[in-house]
Amino acid sequence: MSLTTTTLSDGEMLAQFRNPVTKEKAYTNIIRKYQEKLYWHIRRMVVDHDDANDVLQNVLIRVWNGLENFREDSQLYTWLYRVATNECLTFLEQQKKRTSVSLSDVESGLSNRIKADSHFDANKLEWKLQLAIQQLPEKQRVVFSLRYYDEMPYEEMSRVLETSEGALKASYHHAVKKVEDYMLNH
Amino acid sequence: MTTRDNILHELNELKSSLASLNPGNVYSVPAGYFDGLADQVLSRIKSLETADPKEELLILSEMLGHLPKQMPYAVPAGYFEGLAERALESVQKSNDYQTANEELASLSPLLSGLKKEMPYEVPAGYFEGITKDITEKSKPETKVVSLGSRSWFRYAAAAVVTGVIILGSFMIFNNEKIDPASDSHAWVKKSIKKVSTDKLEEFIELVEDEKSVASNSTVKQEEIKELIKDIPDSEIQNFLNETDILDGSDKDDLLLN
Repeated sequence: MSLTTTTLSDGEMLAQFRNPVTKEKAYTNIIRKYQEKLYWHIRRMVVDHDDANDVLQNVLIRVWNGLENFREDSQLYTWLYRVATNECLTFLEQQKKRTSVSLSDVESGLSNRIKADSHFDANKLEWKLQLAIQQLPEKQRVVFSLRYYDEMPYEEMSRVLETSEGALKASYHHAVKKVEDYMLNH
Repeated sequence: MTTRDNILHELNELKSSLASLNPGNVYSVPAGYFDGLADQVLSRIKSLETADPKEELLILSEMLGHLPKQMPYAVPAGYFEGLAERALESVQKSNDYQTANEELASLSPLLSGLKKEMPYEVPAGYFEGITKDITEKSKPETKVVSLGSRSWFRYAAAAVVTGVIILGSFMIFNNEKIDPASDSHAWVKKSIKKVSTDKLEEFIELVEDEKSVASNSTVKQEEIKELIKDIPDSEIQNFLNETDILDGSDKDDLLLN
């Protein structure tokens, strides 16, 4: 499902974005380049497509408003992931408040959503993996997702989550063990 | 004597109840925990030393390392195709689409290119002195002493107001009305004073066939009287009725008559 993406580098697209004449063109190019990565990162967190779409729209609007001030002291995609992660966590927090349930209930709610998916198959490992991931605490889920699916270096992840590399490595290692245990025992 | 005995002896000397407790461990340990601990720690150290995420995962969990990573979730058909355009539309509809400068640039590049400096000059030292001026003006006002606290002044003020009312009434009601039918000349003489000089000039030009008023000169009241002395009172009366001065609109003139 990949579309024709631009061959421009992130730096070139950023320069175009800062030019009022080419701002919109640059914006659409940036979205096309990173839309699927951002979408799946969000979807893994919130499970439901409609929720993922809402969060992604919010992310893209924040990108429009905030990209002007992006200082380029990190990679563009690091910054995009940071915005997306914060939006996901905010969304999950709001869900928790809206339904007045504890976080663990939110997580079990997400597990129920996975099971409610029309394509869900409990016998398939990829579905079991999703259920296993939902057992993890929110931030650990993010760490696992970024490292396991996006293979993000710890240095970049540290900037995304504003956490030390050592803490992230420890968190990921624990997350892997938990996920493996779940899959072996369910 | 063992270390444990020494500790027990010490506790007894302190007469502590801890001496009677069984120093057993209440916590349980998962079965086989210690058997795999060394290998576990070693694999973790190896995973920390590698920068490659795939290698790291294989070291930590061979099962997960070999699992395919495709997501099982479905995405609506065509979702990504128009996403960028939809996002741009959302942004354009939002209030943060353009800054003031960007908006001006799109509306009028000419105005956008102009400098925003004001061409006006400000007197030297104006802003330095303004604070001082404001400070002085905002000084507490001098205390106002109420005059009403003195009773004799109140009575005097009431007397003055009463006098003014009486005098005014006297002047108004003492001003006898002149009946234009019985004493037309006196009525005209009194009424003519209320008419403006320009109106009188117009009237005289209209009525007089032979005599004419100099258009560029200012006509004084005395000259007007001289000019209208030959005009019949009835004509003047009709003129005054037309100019509508009898409604008493010019009250100042009435009082000063």
